[in-house]
Amino acid sequence: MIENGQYRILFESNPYPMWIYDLESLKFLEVNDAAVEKYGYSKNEFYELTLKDIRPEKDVKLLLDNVKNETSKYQWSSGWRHKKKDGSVIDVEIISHNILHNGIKGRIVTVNDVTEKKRTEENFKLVIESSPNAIVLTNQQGIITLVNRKTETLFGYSRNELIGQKLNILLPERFKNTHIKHENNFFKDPKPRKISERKELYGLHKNGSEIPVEIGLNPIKNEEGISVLASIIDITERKLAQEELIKAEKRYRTTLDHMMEGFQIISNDCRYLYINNTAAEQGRKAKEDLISHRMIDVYPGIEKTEMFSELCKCMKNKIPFTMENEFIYPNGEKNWFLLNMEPVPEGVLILSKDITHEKKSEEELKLYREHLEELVKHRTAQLDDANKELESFSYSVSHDLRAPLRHITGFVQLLQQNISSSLDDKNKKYFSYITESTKKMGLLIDDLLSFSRMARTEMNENKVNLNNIIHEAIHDLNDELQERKIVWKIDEMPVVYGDASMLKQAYVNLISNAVKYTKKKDEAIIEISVKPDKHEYIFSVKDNGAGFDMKYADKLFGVFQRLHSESEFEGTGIGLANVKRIINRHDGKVWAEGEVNKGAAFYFTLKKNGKQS
Amino acid sequence: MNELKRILLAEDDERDIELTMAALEEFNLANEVVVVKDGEEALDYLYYRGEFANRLQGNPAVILLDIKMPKVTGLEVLKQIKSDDNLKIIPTVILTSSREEKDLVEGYSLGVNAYVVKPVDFEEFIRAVKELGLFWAVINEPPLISIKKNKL
Repeated sequence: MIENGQYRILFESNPYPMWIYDLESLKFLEVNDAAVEKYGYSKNEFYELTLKDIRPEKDVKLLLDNVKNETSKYQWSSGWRHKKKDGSVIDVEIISHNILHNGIKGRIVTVNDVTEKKRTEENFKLVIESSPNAIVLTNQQGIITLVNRKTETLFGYSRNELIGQKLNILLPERFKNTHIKHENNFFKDPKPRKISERKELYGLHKNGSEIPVEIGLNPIKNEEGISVLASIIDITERKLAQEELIKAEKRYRTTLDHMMEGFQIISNDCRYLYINNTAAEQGRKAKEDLISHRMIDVYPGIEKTEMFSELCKCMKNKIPFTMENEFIYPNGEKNWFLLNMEPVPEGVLILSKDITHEKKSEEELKLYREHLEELVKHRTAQLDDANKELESFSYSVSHDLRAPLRHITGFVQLLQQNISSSLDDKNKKYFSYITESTKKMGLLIDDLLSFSRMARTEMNENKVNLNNIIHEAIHDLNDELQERKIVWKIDEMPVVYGDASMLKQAYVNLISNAVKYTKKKDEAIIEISVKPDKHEYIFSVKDNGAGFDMKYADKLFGVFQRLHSESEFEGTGIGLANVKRIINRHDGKVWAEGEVNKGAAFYFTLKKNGKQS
Repeated sequence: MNELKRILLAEDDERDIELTMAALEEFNLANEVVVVKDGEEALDYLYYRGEFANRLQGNPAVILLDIKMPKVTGLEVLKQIKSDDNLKIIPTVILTSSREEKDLVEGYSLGVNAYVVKPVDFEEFIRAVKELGLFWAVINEPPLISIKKNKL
């Protein structure tokens, strides 16, 4: 019962909505101003209403049940919903007491609007629920009071299986003991912390497998004291990536360490930051004597080298540079290196390749080349000398050998003239023998000279029309053709590439041979033919004369080789040797076919497109 | 034979000299032949030097030069003759055993008037020498200046 006075003031001016209702009729008996303000009804309007009227339709039954069963003198209850005059619903907590008001049994109610608080809570739950991290709330006793969906999926438990359990359920066996200690420490000094940095943490999945995790801890203070909100991040992926990264890094480092080229990074203050095995070997120093040492301390004087100034330039301008550098070791030895300088953020990266060997080879090669040039010069000079010697030899032969011969014939003839009247036939014959022999010797000398000239004279190669050549050759032999009956069968000849005068000499020799060895025939047949082959022409001069025995075929082309006696067929035996030499100098081949008394055929080849092809 | 002019024969080989002389004798050309044994003597003759310092004035009607001679070769003598305004008008013949083309080419490029290869056959040789002697000493009229000097 509210008396006028202090209690009424307390009732009327209470910031919380308050009322007294009739337990029997549920009618409002008294309401305070705060209630009027909160619910929108005037006091008079309230007095016309019952408790049922400020409930959403659905909640009325709950209310009636509660009222019926309400026996306690005092009640604090939450979870109620009230409907305001404008129809909107608010969440409320209420405190109620039994009271006798003006003789009527009723209850006095104080209402706390928790709509705001509830929404905040729901938002909190929503945030927790939708967090990508697993979130576990435990109380000071280590009992799990809240988990989110991610926790369920991460650990494989449903939330009902977790809530009320010790947090231990989520820890691998080996962490359980230390965890208690950590738990105590946390509560001694509850502040947010991250516990993955110091060591690797693992969670235990329902199926027994371990999950690498990172955990953030936050103390939460609520009515029940301090709880721990653990935010758990599954770092399986990250760990894999990290391991992969470590592997890759190791791989690169191994590659760098063991690669054939030297690899080093020079810092911007010219210290060795990194150096691989090869680079250390190249520098003839242990890695530890290099790393973090200054270049000028390791190799005093290096600052004066071109390499060092290029390095500084590369550092300053950030422009890559390549150079060949002769590195001088402290003991004075030198090696050549190919250096690739590449600017990097921490300084300059230098790739170095030992090219001492190549340089040496190069120099040797240069030396050889020079030597070769000298050698060629020397040999050429020798060859020139030899040629000159040969020339002067031929000259001597030509000049000096002929002179005594001329003298023999000359004086023999003078002698013969002087004493001819007293000579008998026999002695006259002897004189003629001497004369003939000297003539013959003169011919031999001439032929030999022409043969040696054929070898020495420079070739004067041009397009040669063989039709003309053959025509001229036959013309030259006119004397020998007198009083002979010869049937000529001459093919249309191609134009070839060669020395015209030499080729003419070859044809003169071949044709004169054919003419000579058919002299006993009443009718000589001489065929001059050509047969084109793939890359060459095959030329031939065939006759129906004396021929030869094939077993001597290879002797035909030798100097002074003859298959017939001088008395049978005159000649010096140089003609075919000359032909062979001429054709050989044109890169062709010569051969012969024949049969005794059935004629001979001489063949030679010339390249279709000249010597060069 | 008044028309007969002096012939300068430069030849180092005694036998060749004798054969040449024999050949020239056949046509009675031998009398006026001056024989020198090498190129140096030939030049001495032409320039009135040494043993020829006091010889009769005048250039020979024809010069027969062997190529291969001691001291100074026939080609060198030829070169000197053909580079001397006074001598270059003298008909000069190379008479040699050499058939080498380079000798021939060099001879002609130095301005030789004839190049005769001595034949091995004596009859041919006689014929050649005779023809030379006749052609140059008898038939061929030397340039006027040469005649004038000869008459001095």
